[in-house]
Amino acid sequence: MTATNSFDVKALPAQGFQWVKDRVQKIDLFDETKADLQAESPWYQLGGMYYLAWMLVLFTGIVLVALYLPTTAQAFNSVDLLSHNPLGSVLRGLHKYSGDAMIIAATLRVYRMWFTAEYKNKGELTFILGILLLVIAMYSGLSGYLLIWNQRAFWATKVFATFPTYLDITPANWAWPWDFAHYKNSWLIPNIIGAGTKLVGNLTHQGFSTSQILMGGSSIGQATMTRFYSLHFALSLILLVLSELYFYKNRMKRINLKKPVMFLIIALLVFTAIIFPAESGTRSNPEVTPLPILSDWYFLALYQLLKYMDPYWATLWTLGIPFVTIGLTFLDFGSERHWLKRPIFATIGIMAAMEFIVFSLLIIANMANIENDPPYWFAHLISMITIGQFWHWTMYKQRLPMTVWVLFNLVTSTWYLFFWHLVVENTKLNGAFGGHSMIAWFEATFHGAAVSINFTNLYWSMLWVGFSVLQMLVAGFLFWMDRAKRDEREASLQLEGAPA
Amino acid sequence: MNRRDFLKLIVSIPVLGALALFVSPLFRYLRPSSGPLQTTDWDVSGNPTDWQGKSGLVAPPDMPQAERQVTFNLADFPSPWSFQPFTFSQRSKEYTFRHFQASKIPGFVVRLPEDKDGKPDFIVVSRICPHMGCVFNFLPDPAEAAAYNYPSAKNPLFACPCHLSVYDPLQTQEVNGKNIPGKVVSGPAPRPPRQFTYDIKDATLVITALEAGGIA
Repeated sequence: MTATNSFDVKALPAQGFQWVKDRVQKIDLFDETKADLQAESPWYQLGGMYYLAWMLVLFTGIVLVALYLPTTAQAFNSVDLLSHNPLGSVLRGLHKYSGDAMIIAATLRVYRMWFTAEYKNKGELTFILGILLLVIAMYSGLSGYLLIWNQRAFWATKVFATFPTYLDITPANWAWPWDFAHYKNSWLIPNIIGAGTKLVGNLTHQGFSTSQILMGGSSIGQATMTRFYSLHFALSLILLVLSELYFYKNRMKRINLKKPVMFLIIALLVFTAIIFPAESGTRSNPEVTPLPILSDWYFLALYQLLKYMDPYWATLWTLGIPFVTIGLTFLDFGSERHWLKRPIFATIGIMAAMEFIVFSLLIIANMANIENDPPYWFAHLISMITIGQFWHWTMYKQRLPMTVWVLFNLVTSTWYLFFWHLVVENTKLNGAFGGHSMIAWFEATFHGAAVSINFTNLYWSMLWVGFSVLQMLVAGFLFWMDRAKRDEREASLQLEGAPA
Repeated sequence: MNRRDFLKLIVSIPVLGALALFVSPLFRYLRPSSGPLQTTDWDVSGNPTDWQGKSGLVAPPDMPQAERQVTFNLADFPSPWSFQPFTFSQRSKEYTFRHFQASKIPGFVVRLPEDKDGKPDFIVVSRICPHMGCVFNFLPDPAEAAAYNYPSAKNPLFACPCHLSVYDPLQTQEVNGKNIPGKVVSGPAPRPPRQFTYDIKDATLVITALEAGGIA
């Protein structure tokens, strides 16, 4: 590398190329470069488990292709008949549970990478590929379970095919950002983002086009099934070719698991398939939606999100979560890798896991208070990050970020106290930031929008202010406790640093 | 940028353009229609024959078309809140060698408690939830709405099992400058259900067309 201190525009392309090259050299698809770590910890065997489960899915899939009839009239019967054959039932179960195993392994692997900061030191691309493996496994599962053509398949696909259309449909009460007279209780930021999607949407109709490309028409039918069938193959086969090219080029061993471990995994999946045969459900009926209706387990948390949020934002979140996760890793500065020494990222990881599990349980229990729950979840999100922030502060004693954080909280929570109840009452979209509340307040004052004060929200706002004041007190106390050491540090800094 | 880089850039534009020309038929294959199904800016509600040719609008080629009308006898609705389910057939484009698919749109006719001009008044809606496309139910007993997270119901309602959107047939909500009955009173739905156009001739109720947009 050349000198990194000087900024040279001409060297930028070369530096960028080198940056990418370094990351490509460190690619790790299925933990094949971590063979030495695998003896120590089962966490490093997850990549191998993913690959093993994938191979099981491929081999059982090849047999199932020969027995399955991909038409809307025959698909359900062909799968149901297969399930009544003892061997067929095991084959189908093995295909399904191996797919589930892939998703579990990929999820745990992403968590391992998150908590051990494997994305540091040129591991960014490996982390992105890890996320991609999870997303691909999830979409393979989604395209696979439509093929059974039962009620669950039909209605989950309906939701999956409908949600992209919200990329064209701007949020409720939308107006052009400069069109203040027509705001009608909406906020500035939805209007700006809405303007973006509207401008692009008028050119490409990206939402309806995505939906139509997925469904092969304007409703779920034969074309949808054929397309999902081909997608289900393509996701695995294209990746198989790419990963084989990678293994061929790099001469890597594909699975670094010990034989007893491999045997144990396969035996576990076979026994699961025998003891819990994959269910067929009831044949899909476009005229009846059962209550409750659930997707497969890995989409349950997102399904709960759809209940909680405005569909426009729920769509953006659903599509955005992988990108936000990847983006966050670029904010994890420093060389520290242990999760207890990266408190903010540890608490974000714990928060995400908690919300995934609790959201899934809530939707299974069919529990969601749409009006009152979202502020609690928003509070959970903010308080977990705050805990991480305090933890970080007690560990690294950085005064400026802590002060900025506490002031930010105080300002937003004061705003909440005065304006949030107006926003919550008027828009039903909870968790608005202060600026939006201001807009709503202006709107209420100058355009006479209907405003009513809801005391639940008022108490919530007061709680927020109390929380911020508590943060100030705790931060001040911690800083006071640290005063002796701070003086020492400052003295040592003065010794080291050259006076300007 | 030196002269060589500039020339490379100039040459790459037609090369990329040619590549795009090769790729575009692939996308046409995936979605061969030339226009959008519906956007929120188009007022294509109602019977397509009403708006075709007006204000320069033509039916997009994949706009679903009504197959046949559904008729009811007014005697089917003897009292307020009497309701009848029905199935409305549409021909919609399907990108297979069959080209067309008959999609069946489930709907509800509900007689409202207040009569209009001495005649019974109705709400005629598609049962496909405008939120995520599930089929919603009619709850003749308001107490049932508690299962849909809306315990404060006072009159019969429409309610969707998927994400618990609840619609009130007695209230209206503004969509693109029009007041549409079936206001969203609970849950995440962005608008009331899509409306059927209907005529009352003598003692029959004829359901003619479905508001455009949405996915069946």
